[in-house]
Formats: sequence, structure tokens, C-alpha cells
Amino acid sequence: MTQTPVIENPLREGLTMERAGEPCALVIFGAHGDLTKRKLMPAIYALFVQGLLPHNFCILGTSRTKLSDDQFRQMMKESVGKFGTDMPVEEEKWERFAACLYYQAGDTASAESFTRMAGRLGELSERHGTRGNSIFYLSTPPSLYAPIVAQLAAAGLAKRDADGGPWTRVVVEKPFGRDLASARALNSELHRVLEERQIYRIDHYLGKETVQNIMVLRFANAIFEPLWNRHFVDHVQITNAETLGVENRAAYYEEAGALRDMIQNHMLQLVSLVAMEPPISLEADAIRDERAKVLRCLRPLEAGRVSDFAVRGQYGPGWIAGASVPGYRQEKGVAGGSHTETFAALKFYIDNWRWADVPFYVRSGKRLPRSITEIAVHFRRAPHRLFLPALAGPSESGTPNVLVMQIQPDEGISLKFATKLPGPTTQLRWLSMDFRYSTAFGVRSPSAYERLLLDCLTGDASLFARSDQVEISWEFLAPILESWAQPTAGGPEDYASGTWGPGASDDLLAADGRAWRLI
Amino acid sequence: MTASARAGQGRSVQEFLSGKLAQVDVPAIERELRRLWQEASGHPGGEQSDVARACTLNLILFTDEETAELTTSALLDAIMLRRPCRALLAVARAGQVPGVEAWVSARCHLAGTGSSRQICCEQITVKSQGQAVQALPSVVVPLLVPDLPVFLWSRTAGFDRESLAPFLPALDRLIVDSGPWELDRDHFGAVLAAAGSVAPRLVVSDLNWQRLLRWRKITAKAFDSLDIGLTPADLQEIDNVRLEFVAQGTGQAILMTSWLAAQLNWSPLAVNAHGDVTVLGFQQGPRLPRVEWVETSSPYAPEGSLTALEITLSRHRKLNLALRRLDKTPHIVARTSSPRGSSREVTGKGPELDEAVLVGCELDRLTRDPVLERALSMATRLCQLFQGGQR
Ligand SMILES: NC(=O)c1ccc[n+]([C@@H]2O[C@H](COP(=O)([O-])OP(=O)(O)OC[C@H]3O[C@@H](n4cnc5c(N)ncnc54)[C@H](OP(=O)(O)O)[C@@H]3O)[C@@H](O)[C@H]2O)c1
Repeated sequence: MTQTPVIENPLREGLTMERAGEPCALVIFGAHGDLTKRKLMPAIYALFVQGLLPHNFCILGTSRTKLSDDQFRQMMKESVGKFGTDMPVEEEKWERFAACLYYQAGDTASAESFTRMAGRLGELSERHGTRGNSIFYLSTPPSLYAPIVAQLAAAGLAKRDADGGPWTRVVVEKPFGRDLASARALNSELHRVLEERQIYRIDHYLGKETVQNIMVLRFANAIFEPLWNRHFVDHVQITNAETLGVENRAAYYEEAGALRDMIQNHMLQLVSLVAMEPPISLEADAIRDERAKVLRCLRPLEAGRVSDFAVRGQYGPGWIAGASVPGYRQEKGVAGGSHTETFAALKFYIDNWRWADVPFYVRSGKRLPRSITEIAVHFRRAPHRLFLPALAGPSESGTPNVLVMQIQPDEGISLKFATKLPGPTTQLRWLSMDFRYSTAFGVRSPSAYERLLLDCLTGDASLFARSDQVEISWEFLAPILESWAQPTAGGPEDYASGTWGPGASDDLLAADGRAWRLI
Repeated sequence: MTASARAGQGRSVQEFLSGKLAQVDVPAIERELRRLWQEASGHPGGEQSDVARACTLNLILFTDEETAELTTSALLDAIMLRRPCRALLAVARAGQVPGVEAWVSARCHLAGTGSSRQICCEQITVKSQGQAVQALPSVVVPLLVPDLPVFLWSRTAGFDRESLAPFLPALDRLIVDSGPWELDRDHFGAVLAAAGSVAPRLVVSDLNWQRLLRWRKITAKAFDSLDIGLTPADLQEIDNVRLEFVAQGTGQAILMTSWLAAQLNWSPLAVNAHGDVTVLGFQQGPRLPRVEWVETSSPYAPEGSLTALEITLSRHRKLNLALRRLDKTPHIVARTSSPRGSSREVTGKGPELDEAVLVGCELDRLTRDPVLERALSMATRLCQLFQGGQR
């Protein structure tokens, strides 16, 4: 049999075409909710303004509240005006955008809602030329994720890509399960209907510009990678600190706590990016394979020794930015005797050739003195301490060189190093060489949701969590979750709002002769 | 040192940060800048101040305009806002009395909404006149910030190879704008020769190429997208290309034709101009495709801009691309038709015309573009054919 040769288009040479996705409809479940208003709609509108949405595109919002298309459009306009701060609503543009916004009320428990949705999507596909392709964004309470996907399948709205015809993608918000068993159950429910590559598990940290820059910093520069291992790195600290308390999310937070809310997903994803081996290519699975490998190498925590590796705390009353704030148990919607941790700190090891015996310390907490997320790679001391007597200042006790990747706010990279103070004597001083994105590049950074939505529209899953990563991270944390759930375990240690967490967090490092970075 | 230069010494830091030009003694430019920055940062070498100095590249803006500092001011502001750089405005003016003068100023903007921190870039203006134009590179080149890429944007009507030659070894990228160029002078060849003289370091870019990007994209897309229904094989069946452009300045028509011809391996045979129409003949194997340029007018497209492109294929099929105003912005609408009457349509955004945006795009790039280089070579061949025909 002769093969028809594929003729290349010579006019395409050198042209990078815009990343507009294929025609599709975006269906948002939970369209009346907080996340849609604060994050999703401003991000979609920003993509629209930048001309990054597909040409044939429409959005169908759905949730229980009864709203007309126009009421929904008005509500979304107000949300974009309020939360899309760097992309203000312009009347003429909004009119064009609103023309592709629709709404349909419905309860996800009713099969009839999905039958109606199928009819509506059929109409919209005709009107907007979306060719029957759909992205379903699940921004509802997590208990509805599996039932929604099952209902979509029953109504003929979701099916495996391998079956051909229009495609389906499903975006799942966090939290993905609350422990290993529930994450596995959810994965298997989703896999009953969809292939893994059709599932986009959002971890919005991965959509942040600085997080993506970790790979660039490591693998596009030849100077860091030779040092990026146990021979030169003393330890790594990752901090996620928020000044905010639980705000109006008590119902969710009471069930979650810091370990589930931040560490299982965002913090462990950061660990995997910092510690991964270079991927063989930039293909989604090549990168995700390497990230998963790191998580597989996490040294399992021994059930009987959890307190040597994990610390929890809960904020009490205190002061934040000059204002007095209540303790967690006094917050609206929080049980008076709540044991939910608002702070968690972990120490662990990655048992592989590169990182053997290098401790990773990770902490995340609410009501801490400042809001900051950073990764600090602490290098080993110089082998011969020639200048020790000349080192002045409070940093001398710390490890000398530190490379800090600041994720938020004020994204940037800094390197701490010693230098000589001007003058006739040899006095040394620690200085920081700073790079700030906002100073170096005047361009606007897209929000994490913009980036992730665009990736989903174009079918690129590199920045989404894969089923194996999610399950491994739950498996790693299982001993801690079990230990903390024991009735005999007592509750988390209190810390005053506006401080850096419970004393046990400092002890975790002090036991190794180290200290948290003063931020 | 001139009297005014002396008067400029010791200027206040407020004036410097406000963007006012401060005249400085030429040999002391760097020293004066250092002094002003030190003062601006509150204390010598200090970091505590609300003024941050930023620089990610060097941009030499070479011009022969008398009032360059006025005409380029808004442009440089727009460029620096997104790409902090040291801008060196190098002015080479004609004139009897030779002389070189220099000014420094800062261009600052707030770091973000709600921030009191100012991000500042510096501009050094060096004006030379008469014979002293030759001295311009010796003032400008030593002022380049080391280890950062160097871009030179030649903002003169043609390409002044002689004046630019001494700058070339210091450059990473040479930016020209072939928009106003005509077939009767081969600036294209001069640019390629200049780049070749310091190859492979120097990369050439053309704002006109960027301006044509959307035309090129939608043309390319028309030959392999399902929406329009043509295939790459149809590129071998082009009989005629008709380009319409707004009168004055054939640069876009030249470059678009050169791109098509170079990518499709067409050899140029003849170029003939008859009034408002220019006809270019090519050979592609046994076929003889023709390109026609027709001058037109448009209420919203500036001089030289392409407004329509019609490609006639064998079997009387046609691909039409035309600039249309949709939603108040120009879009390019592509449409095919055949004797059977079928017609499909796709739309692409209209061309980007803002000079600051075009330059900004070039500043983000450092790699060479072999497709542009091939198009420039083809443009040179067209110029030579045209000039040969005129003789
Ligand atoms: N908000 C955030 O910043 C944030 C951040 C990260 C992740 N997330 C995750 O995103 C998801 C949504 O969060 P959210 O803060 O937007 O929650 P939310 O404000 O409580 O909104 C939940 C949405 O789900 C809809 N819904 C609830 N039950 C339904 C049912 N039976 N049938 C149809 N619709 C139903 C609600 O509709 P009605 O309002 O009409 O009743 C509402 O639109 C959660 O899984 C959350 O964990 C949120």
C-alpha cells in the first residue's frame, strides 16, 4: 500500500499561531458561587479581552439559584468589575463578551436538569459553532463532583475521547478527596466515565508565573543545577503564610484544616517542582512523570513517630497589622471545641540519589504576621570558615547562602551572600541580590486561573495534577491524618494570631540545629 | 564644555526623576548618572529608597530628526513601562557646525496600583551634528550596560549603513522599519549586508514584518485550516496574487510579496510599474505566477498598509483576504469562493499599528528569523530587477 505523503504548509514556517483553543462550550457548575465570581469569570473575561478565547465559544453557567440569562450577565459584570482589578470592564467589550454568556438553573441531583442542559447545549452549539465540544468546570461542593460526572454521562454529555466525536474535558476544583480512600474513590468514579487525560485537577499554585519559573530557573541556567543536590544543599524551607483567618469559609475549613487545604496539594506540588529531575521534554506527561517520581520518593512517616515530623497549631486571639483579631474557636461557624489545625509544619526526606538526607521543612498557616509564600534553598557553609570572626550581624548563625524563590506577593528571586564591608578592616556582611518580576518586566502577569483555563482550552494538562500524584500525596500524609484524628492525640497547640505559629514548629527545626528563616 | 552643559551640572534629583532632560558634559555622563542615582536613593549606595532602578536591556534609538527628544518621548515611555531599559537616543543631524551634546533623564512609573515605589529607567540623549556625527558611536557605545542585550532601532527614512556601521559590532539586534521603503533603492540589501558584516552575532528585525504578521498568519492558515477548505497542495496552484495597499510607501507590498515568493520557491523574472499598478512576474517550475500591486485608499488604514489580498488559484478558485472594520477594530476576513459558489469565512485580528507595541515585540526576541532573512533577500532581488528594468 502506498502512503499519501503529508504536504507541509511552507507558509506556516516560523509562525507561532496564537494559543486559541478549539471551538467549545464551557459549562460552569457552581456559577452562582464565590469562586466563579472572584476568580473564574474575571479570568475568562481577561482571556477574552486578550483575544485568547476560541472564536466559537460560549459559557453556560448553572447552579440552584434561579436567574435569567440577563440577571446572570449582570451579576458576572459586577463580579468582573469588582474582582478583575487589572482588566477593567469596558462597555463595548463587555457587550460582546456577554453575548456568549448563558445561565440555566438546576439541581445536580435531578436527572431532568441534565436532560435540559443537553438540549440547551445543542442549541448553543448551533448558535456559536462550538461543534458539541464541552468543558465542564466543577466549582461546587466536592461531594457533588462524582455525581455530576455520572449524570453528565447518563445524559450523553460526557464520554471518553477514544469513542470519537466531540470531546469532553472536566475541570475539578480542590479539594480532591479528604484522604487516600476518598481520593481513590473519586478517581475511580471519574475514570468510569473519562480517560485520565480528560480530567484537569486544578492546583492554582501551578498556574502562578513564579512557580512555572522554578523549572526555568533550574533547567535553563547551567549554574544552579550543579549545586542542586545533597552535596551543596543543606536543607530546603517552604513557607506559606497568610494574615487572613478563616473568613467566611468556616464550614469548609472545619472539615479540612491546613494539612488538607494547603499542604497535600499546593505545598507538595512546590516540593515536587523544586526536587524533580529534568524532564525528558516539555510534554505534559514527561513533566508530570518527574513530579510524581519525587512524591514517590518521600520517606514514609512512621506511625509511632508522627510528632517528630509534624506539628499542628490553631490561632488564638492576637494582633494583625495593628488590629485585634479573634481566635479560631471564636470565629463564626467554628465549633467551640474545634481541633482543626490552622497551622501545620512538616519535616520530611526525599529518598533518592539527589536528595538523600536533605531535610525539607514545610509550613503553612493562617493569621501569621505577614502574607508570603516562598521557597528557600539553604546551601551548605563554605568548607573552611576563613572569615568566621569577621561575620557580623544576626544572620551569622544561619546557613550562609540562601536562594529564595518568592511565589507571592512581589514575585521574585533573591540570593543571600557574604560581602566585605567597605573599610580598612575585614568586616563581612550578608547581602541579598534581588530580582523582582514587577521591576524587571513591566508586563502584567496573567492570573493563575487565566493560565490554567487557557491550558485547559488548548488541551495542555502539564500544570494540572494527575491521579497518581494526588493519591501518592494523600498516602504520604495518611499517618499524620490518622494520628491527629486519634481521640487521645489532644488538639493542636494554640498560637497567638500575628506570631509564626506554635513553639513546636520552631522546635522541629531546633532539634536539627536549624531555625526557620526570619521573614 | 559648553556654558549650558556647565549650568546643567549639579541639577536637582527631583528634576532628574521627573523626566526633564539635564544637560551633562559628554565625558562625564556616567559619573553624573551615578551621582543622580545616589542622591535619588537617599543615601550613597542605599537600598531603602522608594526609587528602584531597573534595566533589562540597552536600546539605542538612532534617528536624524531635529526634534527627536519630543517625537520619541511618548514612545520611549510606552516601551520602558513594559521593558525597563537604558535608552540611548542617538541623534545624527545634518548641519554646518560640528558638535556633540548630551543630556540625561530618568523615566519613572509607579510599581503597581497602590504602590508608592517608583520604577525608574534612564535615558541618555546624545545629539551630534555635521561632521561630529562620526563621533556619535564613540560616545554611545561605551555607555551600554554590559551583559545586557543591545538593540539598535534605526528610525530614519532609509537605512543609513555608513553611519550605523561603527555600532554594528556592539549590537545583538538591529531593528529597521521597511514600511516606507520603495523598490527604487535597495535598503533591504543594505540591511542584509550590514548584518552579514558582523555575522552571525547580529540579528535583523523589521517592524514591517511584525506589522504583516497577522496577514501572514491568516494567509498561512487559509491553506490548512478546515474552516477555509484549502490545502497546502493548493499553494502549488497559484496563478495570480493581487495586493491592494494604501498609496505612498510600498514596503508592506514588497515584504508580503517577498515572503510568499521566498516560501513558495518562486524565482522573480520581471518587475514592471504602470501608473498605479505594478506587476511582478515569477516562475515556479512550469508555472508563471504573477503578483499585482494596486494602490488604493482607505478611511482607516494608514499610508502603505495592505488592505486586501486576493489569490487566484487554478480552476478559478479564489481566496480573498480583506481588511474590514468589525466592532470598531480592523479585522482581516478571509473567504474562499469557487465556480460552484461555495464560500467559507474566517476572521483574524487586524494589523497592529502602534509603533511602541511593534518595537516592544522585537525587544522580547533575540533569536534570528530565517524566514524574514529569506524574505529580505527576495526583496533585494525584486529591487534589483526593478532598477534593471528602469535603466
Ligand atoms: N472560593 C474559593 O476561593 C475557592 C478556592 C479554591 C477552591 N475552591 C473550591 O471551589 C468549589 C466552589 O467553591 P465556592 O467557594 O465557590 O463555593 P460556594 O460559594 O459555596 O458555591 C457553591 C456553588 O455550588 C452550587 N451548588 C451547591 N449545591 C448544588 C446542587 N445540589 N446543585 C447545583 N448547584 C449546587 C451553589 O449554587 P447556589 O448558590 O445556587 O445554591 C453555588 O453556586 C469548592 O469545591 C471549593 O472547595 C474554592
